[in-house]
Amino acid sequence: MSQFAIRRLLTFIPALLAVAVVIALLMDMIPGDPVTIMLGLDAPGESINRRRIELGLDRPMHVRLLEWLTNALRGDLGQSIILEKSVSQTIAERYSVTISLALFALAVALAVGLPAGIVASVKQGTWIDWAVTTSALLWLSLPGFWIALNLIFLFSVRLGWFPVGGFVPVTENPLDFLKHLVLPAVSMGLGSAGILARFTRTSMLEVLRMDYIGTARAKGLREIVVLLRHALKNALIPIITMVGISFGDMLGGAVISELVFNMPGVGRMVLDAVKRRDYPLIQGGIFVVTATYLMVNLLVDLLYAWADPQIRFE
Amino acid sequence: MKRVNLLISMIVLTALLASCATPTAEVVEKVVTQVVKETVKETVIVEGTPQVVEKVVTKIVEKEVKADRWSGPGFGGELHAASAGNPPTADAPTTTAAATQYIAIHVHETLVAMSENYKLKPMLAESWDVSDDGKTYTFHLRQGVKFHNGEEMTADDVVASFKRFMEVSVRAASFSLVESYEATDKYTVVFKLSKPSRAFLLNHAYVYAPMCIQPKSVIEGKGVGELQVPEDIIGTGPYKLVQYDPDTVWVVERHKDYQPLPGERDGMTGAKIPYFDKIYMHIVPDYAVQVAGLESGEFDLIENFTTVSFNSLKDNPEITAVEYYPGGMRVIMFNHAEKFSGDVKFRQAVLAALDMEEIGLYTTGGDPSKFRLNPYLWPPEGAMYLPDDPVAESHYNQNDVEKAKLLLQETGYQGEELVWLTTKDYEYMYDIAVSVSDQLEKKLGMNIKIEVYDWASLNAKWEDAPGWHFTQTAYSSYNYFPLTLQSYWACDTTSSLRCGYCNPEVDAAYDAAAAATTDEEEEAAWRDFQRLFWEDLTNIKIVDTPSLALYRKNLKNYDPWYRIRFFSVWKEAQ
Repeated sequence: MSQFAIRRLLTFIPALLAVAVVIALLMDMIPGDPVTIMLGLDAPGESINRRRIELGLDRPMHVRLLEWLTNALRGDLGQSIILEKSVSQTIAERYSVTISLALFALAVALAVGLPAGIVASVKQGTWIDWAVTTSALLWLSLPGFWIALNLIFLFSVRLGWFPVGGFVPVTENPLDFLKHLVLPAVSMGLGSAGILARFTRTSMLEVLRMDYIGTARAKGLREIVVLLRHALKNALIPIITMVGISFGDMLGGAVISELVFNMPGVGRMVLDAVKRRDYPLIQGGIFVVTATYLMVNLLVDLLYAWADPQIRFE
Repeated sequence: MKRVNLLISMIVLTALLASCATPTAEVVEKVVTQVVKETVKETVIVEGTPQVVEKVVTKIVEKEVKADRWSGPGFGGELHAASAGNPPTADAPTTTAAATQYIAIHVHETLVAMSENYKLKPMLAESWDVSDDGKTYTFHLRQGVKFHNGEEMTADDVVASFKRFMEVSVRAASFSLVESYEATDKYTVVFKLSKPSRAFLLNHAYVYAPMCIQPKSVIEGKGVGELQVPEDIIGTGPYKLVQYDPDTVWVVERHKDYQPLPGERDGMTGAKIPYFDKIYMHIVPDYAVQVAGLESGEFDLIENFTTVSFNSLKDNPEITAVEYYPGGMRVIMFNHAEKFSGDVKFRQAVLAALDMEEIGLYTTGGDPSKFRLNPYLWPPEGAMYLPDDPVAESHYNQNDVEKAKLLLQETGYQGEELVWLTTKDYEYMYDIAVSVSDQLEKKLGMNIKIEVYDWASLNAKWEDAPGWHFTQTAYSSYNYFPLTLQSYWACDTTSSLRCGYCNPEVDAAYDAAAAATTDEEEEAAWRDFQRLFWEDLTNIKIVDTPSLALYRKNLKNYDPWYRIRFFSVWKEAQ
């Protein structure tokens, strides 16, 4: 397995290189630059041009890209033009927010989606099955930002149970940390819960038809043991795949929740950087999110071996 | 002798300077009445024998004690505000961005500042003298004014601040008339100009890219991007920057050694009292979230909201909704370097065709109370209201389609495609583009293509000469500082707002306003400018719009005036 993991890690390099080149090309095509944003609309042209030269923005994009790649190999993702500080440091400050949000949302998705899917599969054809599948369809159809705004309206404005937005590090106050994550995590996790519920239901239905399930029941095992130890474990492969994809979506889609709930995460950082044409920050932010997504997929592949001992890595 | 625990009842005798309803920072001493019990020894005769006995005696004494300068009614607590504006930097002289001004207003001060009736008044300069020839300005500084780092402000700091301003500021060119400047003693600075200019003092008072006074020990030798934030963002203002997380929040806390001027708050000068211990400005891009935060009480004040939200909160008993003028002027901009839009006849044709009331209604969600039709450049509440102008009155809001068609014919326009650049980042800009182009298409048969960009791309497009004809914006600073218009449209300005415009007659009007030595001369110059504005049409004015403010009712003495100001503002307990 370790050889498999190393080989997969090596494939990250061309993937990340391709992402870096595509981002650079896209940014070169978009009009505007960060200097007008920094200095203001009515700043004199001389000030703007002077600052562009100072920041090296007058150089061709391929020259800037080569310089960035060379530095990135040494772990230096450059300096944010607008924030005037290291991109690595900026991302590090915000990474924990995005990861916390994504993990919490995943926990919501698993806590809601898995049991719902299992129940629907066991109660196939009943009103329970219908209620679960309809709810799941609703959760994944509704736009995340719409859910978010309604959650804020109900639970923050009307009931005052949760804050409107913001983020408190867990080291500062664990309870406040959780309170600030509930609404954004629920708004992000419900959509994935819907997908997971449907996947779990389908996967479980296939497994529940297998002969060994009938054998397990005939042996007198309790139903819960049949479901969880025999059926669910064998239904896990597609579910793990879906969880991996969902987590990746959450990392990328966290920007919506971060924007609505005013959370200082990587997604919002990249969005603000795009608005302000902060090229190093855009490049570094997307680079790190891509690398995280690739790592998550690697972990998913490794989890297959745990779920199914018959799987061998070649 | 033991002194038992004292029972203290406090009676505060306060000398109030302002109205009884206004808490004041002038209380520095309290007269405290104390009930003191003392044990004293007395000699008494008991059965003929003198004996020393102890007796408890109660006395009432009065003492003067020094109280914390920043204590008393209204003082203390935190203010939480929200704005979508993300400051690109905290180094105020280097940018004109409004979001940076919010920091600068609380942290920095200038030699002179604008009062609420648009007069220049002392701020860090106690007074100033102007030579008879108008070319030498001598500033006499206030003494004992402390920076946030404890240093006293002196003339050397003013000289260092001006030197750095000329090296890093985007407004350095506005002081191009300064030939020399020096500190002649610890509290005196002399500026010599190449020619007289009323604008010299005004330029010191500008809030955007301010010529603010900072400690020489901190800023000397530091270029753009070289000040550590927040450590090096040091000023003399009532608040000190203590936290700066771009995209998230900036925080200021009370400057304990702040020396307010006497009297009341007056524009950007007067008594600027720091009632709050700390002020938090949260960067919240989503307008709906700002409104939710205000309703839930998480935010005491919000800056961004739609007209619909404003109207829906007017009747909320916990929220104050305020409209005030001057606000802004919405305009159509032209690309003067392009065919047709560069032709004054074409622009006159556009002006003649337009129904400004219809545009006003469309861009304010159909609410007639949210705009004013006004032919004059400044509203009555602005710094330079110039009514009784027949040129302005005859040109504005004509809605004369026949006249417009005749004018358009003279330009040779045959239905060629015209491009309108706009953005949805500011809702009103997109609304202007849609409503005006709709009128021009229907009334004059113009062929207009609307191109929508994000804000950064739109700015870049404004710099490019060919390829577009119309765009839009709004101005507000000119209402307080009329000469800002010079930085937008003068022939030698390289601001992207000029869009290729150049008219030497207009430049002459600016120069006359800047060189005016009396109010009458200045007004005459601006009247000339207003006439030329309507005849030559660098832009077309659409409507005046008010500024809107939404804040919690327990926020007292808040008055937006030009920009968000949180000094001399306090909260009552709810």
